[in-house]
Amino acid sequence: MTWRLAWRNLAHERVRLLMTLAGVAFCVALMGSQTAILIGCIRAAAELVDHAGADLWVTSKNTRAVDFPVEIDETHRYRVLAASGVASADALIVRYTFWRRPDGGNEVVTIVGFDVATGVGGPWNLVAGSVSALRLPDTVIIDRLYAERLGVRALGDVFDVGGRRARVVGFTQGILTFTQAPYVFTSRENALQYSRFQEGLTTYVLVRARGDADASAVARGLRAELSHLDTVSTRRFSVRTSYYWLVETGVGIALIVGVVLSLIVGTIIVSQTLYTTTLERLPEYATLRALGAPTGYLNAIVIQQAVMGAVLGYGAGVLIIIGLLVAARGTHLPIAAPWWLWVDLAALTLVMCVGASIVAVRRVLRVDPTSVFR
Amino acid sequence: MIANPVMRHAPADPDHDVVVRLTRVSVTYGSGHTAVHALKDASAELRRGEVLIVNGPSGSGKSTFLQVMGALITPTSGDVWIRGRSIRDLSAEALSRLRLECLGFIFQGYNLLPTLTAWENIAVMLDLKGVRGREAERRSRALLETVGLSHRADAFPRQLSGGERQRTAIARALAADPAVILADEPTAAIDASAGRQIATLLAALAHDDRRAVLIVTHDARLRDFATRYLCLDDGRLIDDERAEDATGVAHAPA
Repeated sequence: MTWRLAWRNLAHERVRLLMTLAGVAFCVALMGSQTAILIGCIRAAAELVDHAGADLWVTSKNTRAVDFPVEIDETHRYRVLAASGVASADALIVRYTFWRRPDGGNEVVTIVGFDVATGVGGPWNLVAGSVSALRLPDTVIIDRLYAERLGVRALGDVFDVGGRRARVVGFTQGILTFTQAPYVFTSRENALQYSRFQEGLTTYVLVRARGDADASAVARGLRAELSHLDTVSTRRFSVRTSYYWLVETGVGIALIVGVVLSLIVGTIIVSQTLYTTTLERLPEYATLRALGAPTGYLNAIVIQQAVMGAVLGYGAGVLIIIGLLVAARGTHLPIAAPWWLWVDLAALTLVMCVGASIVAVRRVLRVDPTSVFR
Repeated sequence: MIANPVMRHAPADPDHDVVVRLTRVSVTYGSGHTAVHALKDASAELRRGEVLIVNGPSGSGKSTFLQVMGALITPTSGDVWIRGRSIRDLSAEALSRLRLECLGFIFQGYNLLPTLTAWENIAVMLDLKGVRGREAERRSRALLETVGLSHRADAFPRQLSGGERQRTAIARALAADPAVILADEPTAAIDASAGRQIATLLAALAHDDRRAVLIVTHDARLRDFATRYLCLDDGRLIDDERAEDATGVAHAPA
């Protein structure tokens, strides 16, 4: 009966109910979209690291993000290969260069030069063409999301990249970059040309540990062997990269502040509505109290109103987020909504609404049953 | 339902039938020279099967008397015993439990929950007693039938007349099967005919169901339905007389 009473109390004032639900939905949509963008940014920022297929990354000292590479001597790769527990060591070149569009304009791109033979550090989500085509000189693979921006219409189109010819031999789908300088995958040999990189240099050495070796022990050995370089696990390098972009640049902080502000605004809206509704219904709560209802019964009515507001507002908010996700599909906006985002958002909405009911609950706790006689 | 509202036979064992007893109860609001002594040294009993009517001018302490009889407030001094249990040291929650177990309330303004239908208003009381679902609905509708309102079970309070609302409130009070019914000006907001119906109904609860009924009222017409009559003036009980039964013989004071 408390659920029925709670719902009737909520639905009795339709305009107020709609305003409450709009408030909760807006708050959910804002929190959800901000968090989805945050997750998208985190993923985009470290995507190259996460998909490289390495256990360890050997980088120059204090490399803060994969997008800020500093060259190291490629001969270190041989020292790595000689280390205990190492199965393979591949050089990876990450450099910025210019891509000349057919209209004459330039775009900054991120050249990713990897060893085509092993595929370590190479593209993923390939939807057209093949990686092996990169064995040919002057060939590149780009992501379809950036095709229009780069002026690419079809496989086989030829462009000027870093002053050299580049033919598109493959498309990936959905590889975003946080820097908005699209990844251009190519062979290590081509990368040296496109980025005018000096022969004998690289930016990273990607290490895979043997199956029977402990990756952290391998890392410790490499740190001892190459003390002037950094050796970090893929996970750590991924976190370091995300941390740089999201925390050190303040981008993530801004998004998190947005989420927190949404939460506060939502709490205030729900709190105010519930309190107003409760004040209006105080004589009814006093009647129930006079009739013998325990305070728990009265509190349940208020909290159940909050839960209903949370559920309905969440539903409406989710529809808004889904609309946003659909609209963002095919754009460069890094946005991702894994299943746990929906669950966490639901829990947060529930906590927000129930938390917002505390003020109303406190008022109900003080209700005077003798007021029914006034 | 009994047509004749007046009880014809006094209880065989008066002490056994006492459900609420006030012993030298005083209630004071505030303190110092602004203190208001709403009830002064009042002693009274309410027995099963009787209709006790309490009258008195405005500000005489009638509401306080009802509240203290109904375990809504605890006395400043003296004690209130409900079914043999003192309420002096009970917490607010314990008082609430006691009200749910023993007392049924009828208010001047009906105090029905406006967002619930007539049967749902009654089902709330059953819910508080742990009766839920279809059984609660069945019992609620049956109670409405008892007060002659089965055809209005699905109406909201705003769709009911004053008399119908008060009868719904009576059905609600009965839902918890209380030993005591406390009514605050139950006929004040309804017309004379509906008022007589309500009074008849309340009297029947005392005489047929052996419940104790306390009515606080200004309505002199209700005196006809009283088994006993009390008058309050400036917080003091100044009169306690038994209503004459149909034979015209007055009962001895309690």
